[in-house]
Amino acid sequence: MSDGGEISHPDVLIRELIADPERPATLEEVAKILEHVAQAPFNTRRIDVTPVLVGREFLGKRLGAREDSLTVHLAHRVLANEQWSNTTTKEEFLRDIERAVLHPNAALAVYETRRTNYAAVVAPNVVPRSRLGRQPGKLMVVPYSANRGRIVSAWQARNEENLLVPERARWIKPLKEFRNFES
Amino acid sequence: MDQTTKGIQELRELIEGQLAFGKASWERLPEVEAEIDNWDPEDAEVFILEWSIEEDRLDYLEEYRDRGAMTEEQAARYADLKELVAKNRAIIERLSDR
Repeated sequence: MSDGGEISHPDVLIRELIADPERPATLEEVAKILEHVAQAPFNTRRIDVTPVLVGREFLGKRLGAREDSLTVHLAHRVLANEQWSNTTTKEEFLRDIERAVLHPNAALAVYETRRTNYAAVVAPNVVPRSRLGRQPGKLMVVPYSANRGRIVSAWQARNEENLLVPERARWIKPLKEFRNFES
Repeated sequence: MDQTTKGIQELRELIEGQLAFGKASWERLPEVEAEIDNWDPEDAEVFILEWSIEEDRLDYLEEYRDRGAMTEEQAARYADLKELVAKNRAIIERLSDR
């Protein structure tokens, strides 16, 4: 929080909470970070498509060697991971991400690695049953880069045991709150 | 084709794809370890975070095998995949110790 009592920009807040592990986060600050992440754009950079997916048809076109990040991530989730159905559009995928981040039981971790500050949101899976793939997860994971102000990925996870969020990550809003939720 | 036969065939096709994707991912790890420090830092972090999807894939494959859903040939390839996982698991442990 700034000296004037106003809440800092969420990306600044994330940096402050990482830099000072003793600094408490208020409920308002947590809510502000989550609202900011929910509205953040998805990474727009063009990235490599996994070789096994190059040439596969997806959303009405053949995947090239490089595509925009949103296309690549959704193609993976649909074709390789079978988490979302093949009818899922980019807009629906983004809406699922937003709903997950804003879920009342969403957990929030912050950490720094490779000179970048991240917020990682882990939430109950909110994807409508009609758009689930054949290998859905109980959770949704949404990592956000506070340096670049964008969501860098999103996926469904079967359980929290397999998550690779660094051990030193600071859980501002902890996982235990939804440990026993039902899918 | 009745519904049961169709369901079994679809599941085996799903398993086929998951075995192929799993093998490709775990085989690629030595190459990734050699290159990752030259990647964009964000791409490197996403790669590591998303690796949990590969662990989930293994859990699903284990379930398919336990349910007897794999053909003998698929079960043999799954055993090969587990050997590959055992061989390369240390790489992902090193990469995720960041």
